[in-house]
Amino acid sequence: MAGLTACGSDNNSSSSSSGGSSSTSSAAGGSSTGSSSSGSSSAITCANGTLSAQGSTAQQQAINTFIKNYQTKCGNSTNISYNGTGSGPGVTAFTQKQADFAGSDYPLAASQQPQADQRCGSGKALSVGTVPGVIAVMYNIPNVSKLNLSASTLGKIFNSKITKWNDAAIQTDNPGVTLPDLTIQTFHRSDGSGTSYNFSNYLNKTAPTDFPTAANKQWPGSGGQGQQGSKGVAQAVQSTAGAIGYAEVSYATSNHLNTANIGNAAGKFVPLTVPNAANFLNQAKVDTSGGNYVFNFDYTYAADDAYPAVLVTYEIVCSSGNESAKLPELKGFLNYLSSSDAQSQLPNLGYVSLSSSQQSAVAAIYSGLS
Amino acid sequence: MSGIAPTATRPAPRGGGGSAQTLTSGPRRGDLVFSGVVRAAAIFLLLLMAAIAGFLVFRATGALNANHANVATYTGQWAPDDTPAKFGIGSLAWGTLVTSVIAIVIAAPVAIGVALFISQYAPRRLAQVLGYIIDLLAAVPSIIYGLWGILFLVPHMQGASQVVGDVLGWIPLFDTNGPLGRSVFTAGVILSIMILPIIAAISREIFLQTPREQVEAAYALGATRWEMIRLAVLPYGRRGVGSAIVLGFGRALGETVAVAMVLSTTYNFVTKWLQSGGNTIAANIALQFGSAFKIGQGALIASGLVLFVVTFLVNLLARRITGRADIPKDERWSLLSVFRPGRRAAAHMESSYDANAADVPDREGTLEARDEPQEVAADDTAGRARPHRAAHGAVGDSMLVSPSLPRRIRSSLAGGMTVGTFVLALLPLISILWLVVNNGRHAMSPSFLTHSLRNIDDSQFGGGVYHAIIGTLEQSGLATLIAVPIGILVAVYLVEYGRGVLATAVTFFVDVMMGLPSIVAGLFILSMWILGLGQHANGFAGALALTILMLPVVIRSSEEMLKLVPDSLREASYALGVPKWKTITKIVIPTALPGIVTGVMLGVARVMGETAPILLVVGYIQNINVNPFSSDQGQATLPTVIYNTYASPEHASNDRTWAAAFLLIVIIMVLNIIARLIAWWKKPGRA
Repeated sequence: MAGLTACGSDNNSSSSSSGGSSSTSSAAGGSSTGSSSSGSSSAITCANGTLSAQGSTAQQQAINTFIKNYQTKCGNSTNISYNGTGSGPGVTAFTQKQADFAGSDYPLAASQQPQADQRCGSGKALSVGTVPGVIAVMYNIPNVSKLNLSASTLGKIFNSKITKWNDAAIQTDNPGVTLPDLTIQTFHRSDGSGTSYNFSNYLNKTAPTDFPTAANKQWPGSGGQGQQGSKGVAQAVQSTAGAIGYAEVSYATSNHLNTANIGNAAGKFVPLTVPNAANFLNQAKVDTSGGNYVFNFDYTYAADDAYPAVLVTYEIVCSSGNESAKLPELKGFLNYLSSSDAQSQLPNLGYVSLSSSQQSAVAAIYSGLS
Repeated sequence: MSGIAPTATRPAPRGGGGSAQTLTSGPRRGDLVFSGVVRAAAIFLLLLMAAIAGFLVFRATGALNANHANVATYTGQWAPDDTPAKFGIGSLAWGTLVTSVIAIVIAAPVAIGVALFISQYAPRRLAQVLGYIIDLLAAVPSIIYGLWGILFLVPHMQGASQVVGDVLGWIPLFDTNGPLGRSVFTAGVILSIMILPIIAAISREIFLQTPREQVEAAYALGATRWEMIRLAVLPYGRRGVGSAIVLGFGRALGETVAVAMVLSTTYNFVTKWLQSGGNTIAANIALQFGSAFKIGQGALIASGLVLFVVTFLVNLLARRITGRADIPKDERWSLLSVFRPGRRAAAHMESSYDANAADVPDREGTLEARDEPQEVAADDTAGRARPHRAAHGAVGDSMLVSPSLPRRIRSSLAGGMTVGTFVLALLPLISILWLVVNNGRHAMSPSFLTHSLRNIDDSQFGGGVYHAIIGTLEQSGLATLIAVPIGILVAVYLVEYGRGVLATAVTFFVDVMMGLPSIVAGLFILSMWILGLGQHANGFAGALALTILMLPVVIRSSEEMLKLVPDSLREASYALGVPKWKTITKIVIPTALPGIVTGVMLGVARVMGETAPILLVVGYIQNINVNPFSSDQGQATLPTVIYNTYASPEHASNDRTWAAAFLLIVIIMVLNIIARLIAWWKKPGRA
């Protein structure tokens, strides 16, 4: 066995970085404050051992980077894994003690809470919003590089009420823009996802008449075509003229897709930038009851610079009753997630950072784990 | 050769009713032990299946009780975790049947053509190589079929669907008035490519086993090659090919990821096959598992139960059609020959190896009667009685001299068509390999083979999959170690001993197991082994899940191969006083070994590409862990690397997806070659 290990190597320190690929902050027009240089952090409190986590794919890219930073700082005796199985299996695995913490697109539902609490023995299972993201409305219309779409227009498009790009409603949103007589093909997620939930929530809360169905992780709009994963949606939009779809902004960036300025409650068209998304996020009401940190978005907030299609992904973790051997590493890693060092790297990775007050509130929760 | 008592047994072919009886003494100890072992294997398999079925029922019940919609007819959104819970499985079952039928309609003729080409037309030396090339299709992991589907096939199918629609659009089924491409038709095409290697490989092995006497007898009658195939090869292989098709159908029913990726999912009863929309049970499991909570998981398991039942019914039907259940070989031939003189000719060739002159006129008539290509399909697949067509012309003279020109032309045409099917099967393979190699070359490097992904984030180039290669080899190696002995023992039981209820039950459940969605196998191991027995989530747990998936492939293919071992070999062995168990282990199994190895390798190829159960019971890590029995760490495998890297928006990560896929295909192919070399080396009579 030792011989086998000797053949291969875990040491990747010489690997080159692509410089964040073409990454995300540019298209998001974003100001990324922190440098993404890895392992420079003093925010990391090291601990050895093995942590296994699983769940939401929406936060996987961010978690992978943070794992790398943490392990780079702490050395070879620290192993953390994150398995992108999805929010459902993540929470289930956490409940069954198969994961030390779970990533989820949603806070624990009331029906899941008792079982999850049971896993934590004396403690409670907490839902802590830690990694926020932003949803892009991507489109593929030849020769149209700037597009405004109000929530009401989006609602009609995603319910198949509008079928042509030169429809009067779209034209009203875009005075002076020449729109082609092209059939609209909408693409949505065919798998259940937090992205679908949050995007449908934005449409339903902002334009209830044109998008009357309540938010759901299964895309609730009528018509359109389903694709597996954000990757599938972005790929379909990219390869189909006349297509429109939604996905986390990093997929729009990596597929070189244009993103629409979307309408907020006041009818303003807000471009997708990280600061705009952060502004909206800052207005969210945070429910801290039971030790949780759960975001309730305020879709009525109508500032010009608040981009309303955002999502927050959660870490599900025991407040107490954690395995004592794993506790130092669990606290060390989660604390690092909420540190300003880690949070400031999020925009570079296609996410949004928590505000500094939110960061310290979340950090306080993680520090209190036992 | 321990015993001295002559086993003057009746030449009990398979299922001689328990252990061989001797005239002078009771059953020998060796035979008793051996028959006990194979029976135990069969019983173990039944218990395993009962446990899985029980597990499915148990987990499904809660969700079905919570369901507020009519599970058979509901066509709204899949919403089992909502309050009130709502989900329907009827439309999923319908979509599953539609895609699988489309797949089998496309795959079966092509696969049989490929098998005929490789076994009958291609030069012997080349044939082996060509066979391996088609086997490569089985080495491509599902997820790569899916990626190829959305990147290559869907865009092309949009045009192709339009063409079909232009011709057949007046049939509502082929209406093209809507978005095309992400349709059940496309899903069926992908499935047909995925199941083609299974059907082709088994058919090929079966065709290769056609007794030389039959072939020579046909030629001696002046048959052209095509006539020989119709007289000797096809009748001989008919039943086995039927089984291969059923096997392929089962595989199509249970396929998840590839279908999930190309289908635009809707929950209606899909009636417009060219238009985007539709869903299958297995694809729905793949799509919804990631967001399924408690009732959601139960609902998916309930759908798995339905798939179980559908697979069961399909197999039942297939058995009715091919009439394979429990009719001893000789009786079957005589039964058939009552209706079909053509069969009698072939049957005679098999049973009495001398060319009896008195039979010649009959055979001639048969040859002529069957010398119409359009008859072959109906005749050979439907297998129902057809009127005696010999009446219209026995041209004995010309046959004895040389085949007439039309007959030779027909023969050449048929040969050309088998070449055509081979080329047709090659096209997707070339397209897929090109996609994989072209995209995989970016990340491929020596260090990709020697490094893990530890401390490599998505946007970073570099790193490697050494850790995943270890995990893949260890887990599928362990699964092979468990599944192959059990599988072969069960196959031996079915072929050599099996009679009655136990054998029938085992045969049926093995067929049903083929369609078991892989996630269900994962959930079963998770619930029983890890949560139930408190075992660790590690590589070994993964190997157990893979064992469940591998068993049916190994059993069914071994069963077919063992059946092809001529009874004359067994009889000769018994006549020499060799006990039954030694006859089986020293004569029967070695004779069938090349075919068994093909089946085993198909099984290995299937499980090496498995993702879902591994994610559940092993997890995914980025560092090296060589210990599959580890108590605190799982292992990565190449498919889980593919799964965890392909969804990333970063190109650096995606490059690794393709390189890992390329590597997986290469590894499966290399193992295939090694296994075949061993089989060749061990084969009796190798000179």
